[in-house]
Amino acid sequence: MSLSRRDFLKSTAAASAAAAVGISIPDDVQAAANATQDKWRWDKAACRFCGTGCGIMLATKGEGKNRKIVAVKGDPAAPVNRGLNCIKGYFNAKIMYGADRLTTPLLRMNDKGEFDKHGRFAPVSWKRAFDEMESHIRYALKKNGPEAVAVFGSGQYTIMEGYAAQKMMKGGFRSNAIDPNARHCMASAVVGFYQTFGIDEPSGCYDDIELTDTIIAWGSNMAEMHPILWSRCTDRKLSNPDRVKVVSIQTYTHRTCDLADDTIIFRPQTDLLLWNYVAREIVYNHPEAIDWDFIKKHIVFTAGPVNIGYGMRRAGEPSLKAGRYDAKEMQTIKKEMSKKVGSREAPALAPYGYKEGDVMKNTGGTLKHWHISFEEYKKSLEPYTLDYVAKVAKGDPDESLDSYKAKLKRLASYYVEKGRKVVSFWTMGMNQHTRGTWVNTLSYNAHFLVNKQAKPGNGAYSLTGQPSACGTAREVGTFCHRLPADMMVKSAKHRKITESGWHIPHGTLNPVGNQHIIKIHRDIEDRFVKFAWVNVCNAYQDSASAKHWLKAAREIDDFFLVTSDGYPGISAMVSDLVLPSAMIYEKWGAYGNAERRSQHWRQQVLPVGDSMSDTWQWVELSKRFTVDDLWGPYTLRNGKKLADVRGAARAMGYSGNSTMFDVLFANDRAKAFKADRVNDPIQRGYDDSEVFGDERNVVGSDGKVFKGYGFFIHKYLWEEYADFGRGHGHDLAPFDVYHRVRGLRWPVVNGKETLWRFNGEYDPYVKHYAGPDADFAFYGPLAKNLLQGNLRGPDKSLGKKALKNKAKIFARPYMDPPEMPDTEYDTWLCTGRVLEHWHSGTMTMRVPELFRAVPEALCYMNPKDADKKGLKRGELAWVESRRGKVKARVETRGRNRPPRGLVFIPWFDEKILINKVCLDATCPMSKQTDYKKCAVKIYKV
Amino acid sequence: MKKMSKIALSIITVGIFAVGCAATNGAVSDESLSLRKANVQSESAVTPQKISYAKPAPGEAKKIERSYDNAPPLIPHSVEGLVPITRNNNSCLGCHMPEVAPSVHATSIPKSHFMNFRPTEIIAKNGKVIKKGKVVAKPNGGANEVFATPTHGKLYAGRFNCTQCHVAQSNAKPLVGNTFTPDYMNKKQMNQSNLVNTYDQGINTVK
Repeated sequence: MSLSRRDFLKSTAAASAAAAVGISIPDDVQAAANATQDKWRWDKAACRFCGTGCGIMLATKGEGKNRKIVAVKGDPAAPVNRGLNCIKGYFNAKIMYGADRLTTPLLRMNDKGEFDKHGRFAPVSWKRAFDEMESHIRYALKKNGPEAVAVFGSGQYTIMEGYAAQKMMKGGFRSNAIDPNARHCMASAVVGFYQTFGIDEPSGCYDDIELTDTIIAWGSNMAEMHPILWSRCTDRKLSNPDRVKVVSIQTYTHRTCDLADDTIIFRPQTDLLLWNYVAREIVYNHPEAIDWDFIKKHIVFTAGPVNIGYGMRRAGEPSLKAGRYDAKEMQTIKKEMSKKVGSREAPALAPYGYKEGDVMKNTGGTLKHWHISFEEYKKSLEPYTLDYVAKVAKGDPDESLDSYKAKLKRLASYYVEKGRKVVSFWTMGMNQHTRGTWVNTLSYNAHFLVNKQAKPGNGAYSLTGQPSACGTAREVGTFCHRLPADMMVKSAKHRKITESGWHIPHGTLNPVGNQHIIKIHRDIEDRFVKFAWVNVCNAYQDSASAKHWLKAAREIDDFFLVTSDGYPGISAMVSDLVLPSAMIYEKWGAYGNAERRSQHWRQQVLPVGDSMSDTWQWVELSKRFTVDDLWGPYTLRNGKKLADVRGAARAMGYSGNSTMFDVLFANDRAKAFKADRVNDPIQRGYDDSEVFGDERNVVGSDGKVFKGYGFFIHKYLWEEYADFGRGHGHDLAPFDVYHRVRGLRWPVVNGKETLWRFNGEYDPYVKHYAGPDADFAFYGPLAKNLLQGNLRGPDKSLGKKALKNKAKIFARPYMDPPEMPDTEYDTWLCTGRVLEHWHSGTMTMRVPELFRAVPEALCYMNPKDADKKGLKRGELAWVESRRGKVKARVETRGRNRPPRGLVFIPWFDEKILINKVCLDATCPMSKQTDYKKCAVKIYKV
Repeated sequence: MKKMSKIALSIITVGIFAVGCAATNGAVSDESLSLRKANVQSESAVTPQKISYAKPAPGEAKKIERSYDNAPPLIPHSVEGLVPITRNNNSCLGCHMPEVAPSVHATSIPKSHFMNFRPTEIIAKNGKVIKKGKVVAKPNGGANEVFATPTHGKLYAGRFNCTQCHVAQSNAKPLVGNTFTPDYMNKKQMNQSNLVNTYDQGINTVK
């Protein structure tokens, strides 16, 4: 049936008008209206944005490359969001359609068409792009070995992309210098999990929200950063407002506080005090609340060193010696080596043998810890009296001490109260923290003491920031120190398991994994890393002390930087080669969210221009390197040797000329996954540009039209990866299953997902590891055999003690951050996100509705501070730290309402590169940057 | 709105022109690639645009066309004094609840907001977690259930935070165009929602 547009509009209007008044209309007119919908194809997918992991339904229309997304709705079948999305989620519809999508590789060139570091960007073929990458990688390998080839990875990689990248980097190039932006977002949570449970990721699930009586947000603005989880919290609170309590514990007032019964504003870093206060209240004032049966059966007490520094550059590093950091910057950096114990932290450090004014010599971060007695733990809590904590932690100078103390007492009472279920949520506030690992472990203490962990409606719950920080970065292990399924590169056993899984020679994998994301930036500035590739992130907008990295990218002539992206962002600007990437719904993929839920989607539309997926880019790169190219002997920079495994490779049936493509991606196992668009109900009717090529006839890496790999590569990558976790607590279901369901929470055992891990009623692994009668088992295998000692150190003469199936309560004190406001830099700066934009804004700033909603990053400030500094609302101000300055407009009446002495400036805005101002201090254990606190001065432009 | 789309269109044209240049002249600067449009090493040349948000008071603003079929409507009026939404005070509901909206010329909260698609969860006496609610569909053979329970005229509390989906608009000029093209099921859908009738369309995704 064909209708003109005019006829169509008439018919649809008639149909809806008729429906409105309840009259019947001629059948052929009704059919015309339905025909519009019939041309739509709805399919399910995961949202592109935050770690919540909402399910969306996408409608597409058109044929071939003209098929486009026309609508999005919340998936009513998705348990995470049940038909609801936030504003970003709804605008998944538009994120791929910004008018300046990258459509072809761009290389900096001179007039002769040669690569020129100082040239302008000009379009080149994929073949030329891979030629350049290949030659610069060969140069880097020759100059400084595998550690000189680096990748800025992502918590937004699809699981298959991350797995492909990890395999080529670690198995192919033998470089562990791949680290995701997820390092910036939840590394502290991970180390917290490892140290406490011996295994990564939360014990609970989102159902906790509907089942709890108390929601406590610790330094997390869930209302903006996890809007759908907050919608669930809101539903829970408003459905039973008297029973359900909400407490918002923050450094400034924001939307999350608008629902709260109590808002507790604390001085930055003093969440360490608040958690210890809650534990002290339990141990000293409400010992009856301690569940000793649970503690004795399942918990041990532990401590670690406190003089661990702040993850900044250390004396002797090349760029410090070369004078690339000026005197102002060094004022802060020198605290990495030693610091004076300050008055605020002195009482908390007393049990560890320090007093005010002592010089603490810092050694670099260490994960070491040892058993202590309950008495020693109790001693560590002694300083955290209500008076001390309230005095140091009160963050709003305009609030009375009495009001503050009353709130702290109520807070503790919720944890203490028998029969009251409590969930403590956090994200960046506790993770982006120079004592991030500590504060993460402290959260579990309070819950363990009263046996409110790993139970329905009860638990300390780490929310993650990115859509696949859990699924890809953590579970696949695209960190410099990790391998799939919680295995570690430094473990010979784990390397061997991985080498077997990848069918590569034993001894191939590099045992040194220390190039975390900030270290990669530093290694570039130190002239060591010679090739770096930015994948699915924006490493030059998202990293603190950004001035150094932006400068290094452009001024080092023999350093080659590549950025793959959908749009040209800041990282593309400072790159030498820019590659056009297929975006989220232009490829098959899977993400894993913050409740261990893995969700898959199919390719909905063809990519724009000549763009291709990151998986394809990695697989094509692998064709350029052979066994003989990569698997000879190397000496690493610490002197360790990587063995020559070429002979072993030959013994396995490879030849010296076998390419990494043959070995890692197009091997016999891979080819067994059939490409079949006729009989396979999962593939039927859907594009797959990597498997079949597509009608765009993209000219590929060899200069010929790319016709597809011919096997179902996404399924192969999924199944091979999933095998690493199956059978020991990370079980994932078969690929096809995920295309029929709305995600499953791992471990998926006998087809059933697991809601509460470590709890015998819900997690089959409890009985597997601890026997049929076990009620709980914290069965994670890492760090389960420890020395014994006291708060000041281990006593080796006591020997080691195992703690199979047990979790840990850590003694960890309050300590000052390395940079605090002083007379010159008198204000705390906190950075973060807003509801309407995703991370660096690369996608959302190109959606007009989101852009107009929040077109620029504002400097949210207390009106009294603005008055004092002579600034009016809407005026431009310089915000300056020891590292750099930016201009931003002052907002004194916005959604974020800081106390005097603190400003908040989000980081999504390319024009306000706030990371030039922020400090790259990290948690020395997790290496995660503290974006939430540094000292600035603010003055009129 | 008309003005907005004109601006957007001109930006698209500029965008296409810039890419066109790249293809013919063969080179573009890194500044021209970015939204920043200024050297990345220096902040002196960057000045954020001066913006202001929609001025008309509630009831006096012209509705903004939906971004696509059943997209959440944007807020066309000033929200000064109406936010924050707190647990004790949600000013939006004062005008937008269906029983009030027509009389004050406000967009009425649609029927989809008076449905709860989430089952009620409780812990039963035997310790098991159970889900209660009206099951209306079992897509792809039943692994997931779709629940839909009417809330009988009471706004579903999960939708209480209006500003999580509905945002006010400033006069800022988009930095780059967007080529998304909506496809409304009918003309009325440019200004209304029928999601309550269509939420379950297409949920059987594997044929």
